Amino acid sequence: MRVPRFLRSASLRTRVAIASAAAASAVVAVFTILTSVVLANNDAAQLDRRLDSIIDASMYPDQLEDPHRGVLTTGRSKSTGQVVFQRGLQLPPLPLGTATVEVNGVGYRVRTITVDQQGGLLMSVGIRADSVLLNRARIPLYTAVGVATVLIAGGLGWLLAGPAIRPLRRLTEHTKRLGKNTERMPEVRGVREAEDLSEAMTEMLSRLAAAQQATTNSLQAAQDFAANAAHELRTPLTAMRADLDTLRIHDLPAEERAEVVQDLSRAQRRVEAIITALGQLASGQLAQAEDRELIDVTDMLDRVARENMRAGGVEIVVEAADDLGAIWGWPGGLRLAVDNLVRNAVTHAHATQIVLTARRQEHTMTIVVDDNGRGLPEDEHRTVLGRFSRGSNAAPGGSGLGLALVAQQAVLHGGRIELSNGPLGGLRATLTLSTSPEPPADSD
Amino acid sequence: MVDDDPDVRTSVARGLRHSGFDVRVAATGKEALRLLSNESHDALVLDVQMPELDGVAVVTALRALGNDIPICVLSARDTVNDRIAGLEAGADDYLTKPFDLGELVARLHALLRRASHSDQPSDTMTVGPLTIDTARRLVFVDGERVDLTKREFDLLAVLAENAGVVLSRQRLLELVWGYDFDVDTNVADVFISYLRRKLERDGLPRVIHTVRGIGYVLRDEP
Repeated sequence: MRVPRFLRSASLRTRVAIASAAAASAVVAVFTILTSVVLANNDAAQLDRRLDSIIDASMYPDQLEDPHRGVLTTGRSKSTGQVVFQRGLQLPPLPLGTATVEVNGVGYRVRTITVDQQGGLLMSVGIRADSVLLNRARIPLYTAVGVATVLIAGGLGWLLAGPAIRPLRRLTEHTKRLGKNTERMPEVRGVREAEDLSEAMTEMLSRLAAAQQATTNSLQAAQDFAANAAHELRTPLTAMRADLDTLRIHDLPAEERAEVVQDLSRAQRRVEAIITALGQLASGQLAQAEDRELIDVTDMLDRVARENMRAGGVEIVVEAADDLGAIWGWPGGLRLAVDNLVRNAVTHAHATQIVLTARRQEHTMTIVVDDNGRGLPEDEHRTVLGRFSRGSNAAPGGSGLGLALVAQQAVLHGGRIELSNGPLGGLRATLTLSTSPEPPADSD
Repeated sequence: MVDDDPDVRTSVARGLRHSGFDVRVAATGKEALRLLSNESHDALVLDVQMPELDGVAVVTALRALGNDIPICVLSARDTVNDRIAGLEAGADDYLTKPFDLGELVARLHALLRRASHSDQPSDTMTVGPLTIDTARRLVFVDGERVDLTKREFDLLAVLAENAGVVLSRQRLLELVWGYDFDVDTNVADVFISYLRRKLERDGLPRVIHTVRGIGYVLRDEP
């Protein structure tokens, strides 16, 4: 589910940015308030200093000698530079304007102006200029404030970053718990990166689970198959063992002996047929897409008909147009499928007449095998397609795998096999195949 | 002789015929039950795995009808575990396919001999919480009746008659099944496990003890 980008959760970058902005704002706010207070106090202190100076100057001129207080005034003749008058300590000669000078080790801020008295005077007025703020003594204090600010900013950042990365932490916890009691990844919300990561992990987990399930299934199928195969082989072997024991224990007359031997060789052929069919099933299961070839269907049907008629007793007609064309597939497998259908009709249904029809539709090729045999009860039309299942009227000696092989080949060729009552009185087998040149998706 | 596979049916029946048995064959469980209800038979060889009515169902049906015919079931699976389908339902013995025909013949003879004469004394035996009424073929544990199949009862009765005496597997096979020949089977152990399961239900103490390497003994104290 994709929501519009602006509606999705904020990214981790945004969250961290917001958290650090919040931390910085808090620090700046505190610092601004502190600075305002300090500056206001400083302003008041400066004003007090000025008031002191004014009071000193106007009320206690006698205290002007105290270099730590008071206002220094020095007047000099403009033309000669001679000191004309002086109050308090003498200020050095200065140009017009403002300057900071040191007198007796104390800094004074001095303004020098021109006064039109006594033929022009340069009058310098100075007041103490030792600063309230810019004071060496305050350096440790400022340093302490700076360090405290850094610590506060760091602490705030730590606190605010916690919630910012909480989804990541939750994701970590979920991941740790994974496999202990749950295979599911709970959804993590709040941070886009964490959500993406969580989604990716969930997808990966489900892919892994699917792969594991597929392995389990195929293992289970292999086990069932092996058990079935063992059971199927055991049955003819039981008959063979009984026959061998009969021959061994009893001295049979030649005629009965021949009968037992005949049964023995039939059971032996059955074991062989089962093993062959098992091999074919396994190779069908392992069919590779690159082994596919173009198969001329009409040609293949002709060959199946010719070879099955050789034994005699059955007439096989092929009804397929010469221009039917070819389809992509596994030639051996498809041949085996059609061959099995024809042989079933001869062996189990005792058919004397078989018609093979092939027709091409838009995306499929249909091969129909009709026979005039004794047919199959309708309720067995589906069940006989399973592995090791035989029709109720099947001739003895079958492997029980013939139709299962046909069904397997049908699926391999992107189609299916269906049995129904046929128009010739026997069974109709309809084999549908895909004509697509692309190999069908794995449907097993 | 009941088996759904025509090859097995033909070959085993032929072998039994040549060994002196008069054999009727049936391809399905239903057919077997019909044959057994129409005429009297002495023993039954029965395939366990059959479509529709399988061997276990046939045994269950026969025993429910009170038919005591000796039954040997044929199992296609080589089950190493102690649960062989059919025995629990009341069959007497089992063989795993493929089996030796001579083995089947010998066991059938023994089972038939055993069936013809029940030589157990008619009285009541008591071992610990167990009461065995051989006349009515009933078993009680602490006064509560326990349902046993015929072969389970015979095994318990033999153990009770020899209470306190250790009986080897070979001896048990001889006394209970009549197998007085060398026989490769764990059928005695299988039936011992069935008996224990039934007698030790509800957490009752063990009365059938295993004497390792020798056999089994029925006694009250451990």
